[in-house]
Amino acid sequence: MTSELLRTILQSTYSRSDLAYRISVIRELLEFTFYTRRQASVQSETIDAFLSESKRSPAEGFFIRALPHSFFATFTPENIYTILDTLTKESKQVRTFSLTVPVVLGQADVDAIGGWVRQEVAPDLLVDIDIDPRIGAGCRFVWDNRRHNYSFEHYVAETHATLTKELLGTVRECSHRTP
Amino acid sequence: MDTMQSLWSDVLSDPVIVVFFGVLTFVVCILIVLMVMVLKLGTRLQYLATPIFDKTVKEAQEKAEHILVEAREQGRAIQMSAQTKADAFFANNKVEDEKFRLAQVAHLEEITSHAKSLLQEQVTAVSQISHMVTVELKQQVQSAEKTISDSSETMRALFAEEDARLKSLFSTIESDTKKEYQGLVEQTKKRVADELSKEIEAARDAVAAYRLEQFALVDSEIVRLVEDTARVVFSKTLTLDTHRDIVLAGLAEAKRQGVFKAPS
Repeated sequence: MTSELLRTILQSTYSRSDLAYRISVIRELLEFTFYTRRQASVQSETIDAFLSESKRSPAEGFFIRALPHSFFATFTPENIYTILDTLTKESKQVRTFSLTVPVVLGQADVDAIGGWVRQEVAPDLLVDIDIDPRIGAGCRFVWDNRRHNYSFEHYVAETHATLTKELLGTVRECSHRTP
Repeated sequence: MDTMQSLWSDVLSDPVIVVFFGVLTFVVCILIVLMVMVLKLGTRLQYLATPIFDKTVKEAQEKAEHILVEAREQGRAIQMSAQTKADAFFANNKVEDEKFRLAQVAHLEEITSHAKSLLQEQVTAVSQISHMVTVELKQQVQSAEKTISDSSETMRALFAEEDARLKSLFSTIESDTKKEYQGLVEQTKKRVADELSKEIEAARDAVAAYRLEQFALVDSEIVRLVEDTARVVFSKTLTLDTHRDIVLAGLAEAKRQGVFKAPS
């Protein structure tokens, strides 16, 4: 049961940090429904009220509303924490693709990269993004226990000989021109 | 009870004991009577003794007062005689003191006049001696002046002679030294010029080698500097979309190179 719930969440969640965050949002929504509003199930009005009161971003609102009704129907006041704890444990078992980028990317960019990874590498991967400004541009990632570098350093190494030749030629030209 | 009655009848049957008890009883009665009498008499004696005691005390007080008055009278008389004698003594002492003082003044004046005459004699003697010493010193100074002037003439002649000798000697040394010095200067100039040209040549070679070395270092540093600068510029100036595209391009290149292929 929880595998089905996790699969539903993973359909639109590509990074590990997003997954942990969305599980906590679902927990808060269920607590709001069962204990604050004292309702037996999650309705669309309840979702609207929750989003309004908790001042969530449109992206979270879109994610919550995109979840099917059957997703929330699984939860009851008695089993809410049991299911969510199991869901959290299972989420930690999902395979990770460790990626290092030079800047903090927006949600859409993260989803784009995550989508590419699921499509081109493996469909059950979660991207774990780390930030390191020193890499300048591009990325580094770990796959199959090996580190791969496709950052600025990589592109410079590829063009180092040409770059050196061009650069030194310019420097010599300048030094000859200078009295 | 029966025991007590039998005991009492045994005691009373002995005549000695009966007599003893009778005497004891009589003595006790006498003692009681005497005690009563003493008590009564003591009180009466007190009444009788008090006036006698008062009279005796009064007589003793009168006698003591009389003695005190006599003592005061005597004391006053002694004081007066002592006062008179002390006044007379002080008056005598005053006269004695005055006599003594006058004698001391006369004595002091005698001593002073004697001292003055002695000092006068001493002054006269000292002035005579100093006059004699002054005359003697003048004579000595005159003779010393004469001696010094004679010596200075001799010394002047000697110095002039020595001066002429030294001048000729210095001029000889100067000419010899000049010749030697000129030769040395010429030699040193030549040596310095040779050494200098060698050093300059070596320095030129070193500078040339250093320049080549530094150029190589600068070349490598320039490239590294440009690379570092470009890295910083890219990370700061590229847009998020461009960064995303470069990331995706890197991942795509990795896929082309077979990084994500499953191990066979």
